[in-house]
Amino acid sequence: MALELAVDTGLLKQAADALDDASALFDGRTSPAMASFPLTDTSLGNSAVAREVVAAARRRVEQAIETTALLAALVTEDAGKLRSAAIAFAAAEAAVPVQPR
Amino acid sequence: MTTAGTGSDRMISLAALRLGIEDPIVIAEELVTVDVDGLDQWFNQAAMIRVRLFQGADRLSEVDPLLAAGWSNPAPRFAVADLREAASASRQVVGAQVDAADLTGSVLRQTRTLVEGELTDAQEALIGIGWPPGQDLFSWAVDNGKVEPVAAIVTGLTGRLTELRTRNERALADLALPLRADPRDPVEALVAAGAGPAGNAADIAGAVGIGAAGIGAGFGIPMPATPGSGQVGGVDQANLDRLATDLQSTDLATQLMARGVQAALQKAAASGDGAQLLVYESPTSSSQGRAAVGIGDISVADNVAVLAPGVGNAPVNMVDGIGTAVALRNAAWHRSPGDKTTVVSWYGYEMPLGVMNGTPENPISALESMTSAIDDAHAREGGQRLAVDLDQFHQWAPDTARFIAAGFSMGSTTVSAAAARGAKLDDVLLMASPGASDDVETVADYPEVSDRHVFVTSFDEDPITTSVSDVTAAVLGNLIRPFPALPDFTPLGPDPADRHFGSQLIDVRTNSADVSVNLGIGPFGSLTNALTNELLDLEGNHQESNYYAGESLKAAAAVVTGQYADIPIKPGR
Repeated sequence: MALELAVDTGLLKQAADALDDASALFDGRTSPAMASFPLTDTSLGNSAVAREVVAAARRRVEQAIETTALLAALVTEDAGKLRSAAIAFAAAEAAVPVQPR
Repeated sequence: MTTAGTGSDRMISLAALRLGIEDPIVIAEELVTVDVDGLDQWFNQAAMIRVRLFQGADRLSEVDPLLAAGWSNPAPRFAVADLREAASASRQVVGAQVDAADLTGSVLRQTRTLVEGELTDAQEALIGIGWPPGQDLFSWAVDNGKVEPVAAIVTGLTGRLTELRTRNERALADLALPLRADPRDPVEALVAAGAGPAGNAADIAGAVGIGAAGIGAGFGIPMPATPGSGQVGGVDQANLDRLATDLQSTDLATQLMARGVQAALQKAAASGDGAQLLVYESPTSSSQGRAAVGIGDISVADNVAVLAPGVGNAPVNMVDGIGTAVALRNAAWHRSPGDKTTVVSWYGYEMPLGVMNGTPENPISALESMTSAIDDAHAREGGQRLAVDLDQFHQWAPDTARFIAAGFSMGSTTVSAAAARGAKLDDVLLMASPGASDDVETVADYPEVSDRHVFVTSFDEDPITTSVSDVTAAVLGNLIRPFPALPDFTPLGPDPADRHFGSQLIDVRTNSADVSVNLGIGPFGSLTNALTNELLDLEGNHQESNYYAGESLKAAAAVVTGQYADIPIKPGR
């Protein structure tokens, strides 16, 4: 199926750059390193719910960190795809023969 | 620990031991050694992650206009938008956890101060009756005939410290609830979608003469993946596959519904414990489509609550219903933390006035949607569908699972119609009901539901639950229908809150403030007042969010968890 495409490769590259910025923000490359987990099993009390909270707190914050890393990777991947697309579009455009006037 | 030092604590501890009282010093030590600073420190890091998620999502939003101007194909914009939404959903999860940790930390910190105060007060009380600190408290009490007052002081101290310990545990439980949500879920759903259809990549690639693995690959519309195994997992996946296909449909109604369901799934997944797409049927020229999203794995549920919404809804805005389902599930968890409760948001019938929430319809079906609000035809047809769906849900759930169907407004008419058609339910909850459908006269007409297990919540201030809605519907019905007949003054069936219906009328009050106006000017003044106040009551009281809030929500959670003794009941109207 043929599609009529309107593409501005310059804007695609800008979008890719913005994606890279977003990736860096997610990744927190400039943020200080994470501290180690300060709590022990009974740090918040001896009850079952206190132990549950300690375990969940550790897991969830670590998972939040994983989330930012995962987002950063996905966004970087999309930035790469956009750049590839921009390059391919530019190449395709260059390959189209110019019609004589 | 006290102002007099640990010596006094030791004396109180020994006295408690000899008096056979729970040692207050052990409780106090546990409470004052809670590591609130550690908790704060840990969640400070989570707060930083929240900021990163916000900033990253914010930057992603700046990509959209660039892509809109730079590439006529919308697939990359959808992909970036979905990343942004996933980041926002994760931020909400993390944010709720950070906020809850903050509140819990405040309570734990305050408790430490209060414990110190209690110990000081108890010690001063002991000194007040003559005890010289440092002397063995119990021996001194025996020698001086003070056993009784010493026992009273130590017992009182133990009691107050126990209360503080309970308060701490409640605060920790309030934190445990948001910690059930995994912040990775919204993003991992996108990763899982990477294995799915690659959108129109092939078309895009073909247009510029390269392989599909190049340009556009990976910009297919991502969709949530959900946990699940066995039979329900297979159905869930089949529904997700259909959803994935509809997300790429060129038909506007189909794509809008699919995106609505996708948003609902993402919100459900973000609430914790995963989401399952239990029903998915595409819209047609005469149907809004059908969908049901379960929060929590139905295959291991102790309680399964199925919620049917009222008029003005459609799968397009299903995300609204997820908010209600999450609220009920959280309330059920608070009431019975050991239970696994699955709440199913069931958008499974043709909801009248769905056009109001963006369901694209042609003029004829739009008119049909308007007129369908004035009788129970759609509700009765929906009741049949709900009965069939419930039968299917029973097959996926454990044999021991309790089943509850709760309907709001026209959804209650639908639930009632399902129960009348033999739906197997442990409990029925009819909220804000305009009528129980013409299929029934009393609770005895529900063949599979025990008569003591039909609950009704109808706020007295809600005009839809009174005869007003029936009369209005009857009059409107005769005006709109092409062949007017004698008005049916109960077109939606009997009021389930009526004492003759035989239901359990829940004794709760509206959460909406009572607002009334006086516009009584001129010959129609009193009529204007009445109509205006009816509309105000409708706006304020007849809202799903009003019924799933406060004491009404707690009562609904008690129905869901089967804690019948905690449901306040009053006589029928």
